[in-house]
Amino acid sequence: MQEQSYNFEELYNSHVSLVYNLALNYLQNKEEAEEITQDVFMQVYQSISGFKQQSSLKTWIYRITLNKCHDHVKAKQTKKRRAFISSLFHEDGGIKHDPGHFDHPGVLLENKERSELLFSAINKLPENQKTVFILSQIEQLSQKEMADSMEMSQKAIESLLQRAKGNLRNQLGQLYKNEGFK
Amino acid sequence: MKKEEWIEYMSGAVSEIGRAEPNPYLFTRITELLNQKKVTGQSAVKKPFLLRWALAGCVALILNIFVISFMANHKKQEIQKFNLEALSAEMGLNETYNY
Repeated sequence: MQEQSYNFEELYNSHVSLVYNLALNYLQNKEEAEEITQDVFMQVYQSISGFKQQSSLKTWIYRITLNKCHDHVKAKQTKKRRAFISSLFHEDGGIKHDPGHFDHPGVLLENKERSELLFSAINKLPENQKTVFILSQIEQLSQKEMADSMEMSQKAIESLLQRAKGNLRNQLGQLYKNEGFK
Repeated sequence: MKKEEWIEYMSGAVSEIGRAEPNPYLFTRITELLNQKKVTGQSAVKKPFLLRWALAGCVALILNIFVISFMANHKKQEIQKFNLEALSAEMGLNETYNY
């Protein structure tokens, strides 16, 4: 029992930064990222005995983190939809749902506005493209690590990344037009 | 700033995103939650699941009882109706006369 908790602490210390930063880059909110980190390590603790070592521990933990982030985003979208629908049937009309503001401690204050706009464009990408973009451009993962984490071939990852970059440019172009930057 | 320049400038923000440190008390919180789960057993996940099945079973049982009693009642009424019709036919009471 004690040996297990000691191992768990070691595992936590060596992986907490990658889990937290991936969740932070995915959700851009400090509190939500901590919630995800907590859920990830609880799951790691409960299912470490079932880990088959077919992939590295790091990619296994990345996979759990990505799944938790996807579930979190989906739950948030459902909540948002429900809040919107209920706002249609209530007299006060306003949507009560809090969309979760941009709160990324890894972004310096002078870059906040720029990063917020960039992340708003990243968030508009399809889920797979957003994941691959974050893993490659922000987390700096190798193509093999990305392929293992996302359970895809390296070739598929490569083309997904190309599409993600292209779509991000389009999204930014749209933002440029809408916001009237000159 | 021109569109292409602006896009390049915005994309550059990716390289300026630094690493952040999580709450130092997070590990304590996680171990506390894990200990809580150990104390209460795994009921947090299994109980609602079992409860749901038990509820579904109860609903199915009630429905079965309701259908059986309804059918029995219906049959009884039909037999009674049939008997009355047969009796009235025998007595010649199913003809109406206008006086």
